Amino acid sequence: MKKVDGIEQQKSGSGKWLFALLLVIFLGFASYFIAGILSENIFEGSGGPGNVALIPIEGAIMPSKSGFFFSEAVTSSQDVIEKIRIADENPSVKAILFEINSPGGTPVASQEIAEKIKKSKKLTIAWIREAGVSGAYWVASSTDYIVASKISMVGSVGVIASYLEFSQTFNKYGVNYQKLTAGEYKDIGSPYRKMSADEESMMQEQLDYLQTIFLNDVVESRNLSYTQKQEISTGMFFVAGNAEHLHLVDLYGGKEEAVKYIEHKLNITSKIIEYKEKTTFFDILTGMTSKASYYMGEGIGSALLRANMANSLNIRI
Amino acid sequence: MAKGGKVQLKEYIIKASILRRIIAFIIDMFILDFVVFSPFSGLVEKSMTIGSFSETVNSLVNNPTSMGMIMKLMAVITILSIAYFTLMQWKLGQTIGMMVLGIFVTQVRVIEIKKIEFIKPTFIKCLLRNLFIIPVFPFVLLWLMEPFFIIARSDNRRLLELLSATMVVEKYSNINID
Repeated sequence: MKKVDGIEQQKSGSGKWLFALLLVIFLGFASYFIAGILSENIFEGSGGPGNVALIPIEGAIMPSKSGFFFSEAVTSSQDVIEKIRIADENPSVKAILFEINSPGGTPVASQEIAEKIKKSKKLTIAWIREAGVSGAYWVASSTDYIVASKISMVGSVGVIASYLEFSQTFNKYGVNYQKLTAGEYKDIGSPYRKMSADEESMMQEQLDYLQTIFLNDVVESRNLSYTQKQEISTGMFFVAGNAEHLHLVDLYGGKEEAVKYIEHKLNITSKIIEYKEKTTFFDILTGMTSKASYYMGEGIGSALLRANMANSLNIRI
Repeated sequence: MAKGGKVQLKEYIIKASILRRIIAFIIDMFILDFVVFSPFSGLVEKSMTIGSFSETVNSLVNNPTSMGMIMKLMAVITILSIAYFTLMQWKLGQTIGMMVLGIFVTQVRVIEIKKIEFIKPTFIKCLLRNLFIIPVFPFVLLWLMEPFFIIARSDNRRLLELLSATMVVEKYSNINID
């Protein structure tokens, strides 16, 4: 650096300001980037103020969120379990309110959430909106109290594994199904051939077993009588206001009524904090690009067909 | 005045006034607030109860998740803030606030100042003089000690400036007639 009269000459004015501007811009980008990374690791609200944790259960209940690009909204049982754990460990949280709007889902995923709710030491309330049927009702029935609108759909305590069977269509076009399996019943439920009476009986036995577990759990949780159990075991869904005798709902109302119940039960003034995942732009982008790239090469139509074939034996509750 | 006298403009370096240093620091804090603190403010609000002092402390003490997040945020904000001051002073001898007020950081050869020259400080010296930003013990003690040193010393140097052998100075010009 040049010295003039003993004074080192500094960088020229414009050079200084340019460096300063670049450094500030860099620090700004770094801050937003790091803030984005840190926010991905927490559920929004998980550590924040509030004594009532609101956990949404929206869409189909599945073991995980991964799925096809155009798939409907799903709730991952693992995510819900994690949120319940966080709420349980937070001493500020006194109650957990589940906002349910779901047609059900897979048996194991639904049971996982139901079991976790039963183990929670906090007051748990289910607030059913449009629908809390099947697996979603299993979840709701595990809570301490159910609030639903008179026109919410509840119940549907049953199991479904129906699928489309194309054997006659294939026969019409001279397409034959060549069975090659090791294990007589390995291709049971294949859409390419008709199910035998034997197989149908065996499948039915499995579904009946699943329903027994589901039904008994709901009966125990809701303390239902034999008559009530018989009626709900048909798998029928009910409009809440039209099934008062079945004791599937404790209170008619919405969020306000659910919150009032919590405040009355616990003698607190509630402050709700919603536990929801932040879907960042990065998540959307990577999810879209990875799936879109794969399927573009194959052709979306053929990919859809393959996905359906893989899920031909799709058991849902 | 002697006939034919030579007029010379001379620049001198003197210690920077305390007022200029305070204003420069405030300007830098505004910049950091916008660039570094703001992106994290949402996370802070979500991670803890912000109420009275006791409410805030209780929400942290009773919630390990909150405490962990706040610690991470503090670490990141501290590193970025130190980076701002250190890199600016190392590369330019000045932060933006100092540029506005016309003061700068120089390395000094001896603790007892006899003659001040502008020598751009090394990276380590810049880092050392800015460690007061770290919000943990024992560095937080500097928040009490540094102002005391500035006021008490004739050269208005902070403790960390003494340790890092640096000084904040300003230039002034004087007309000399020979």
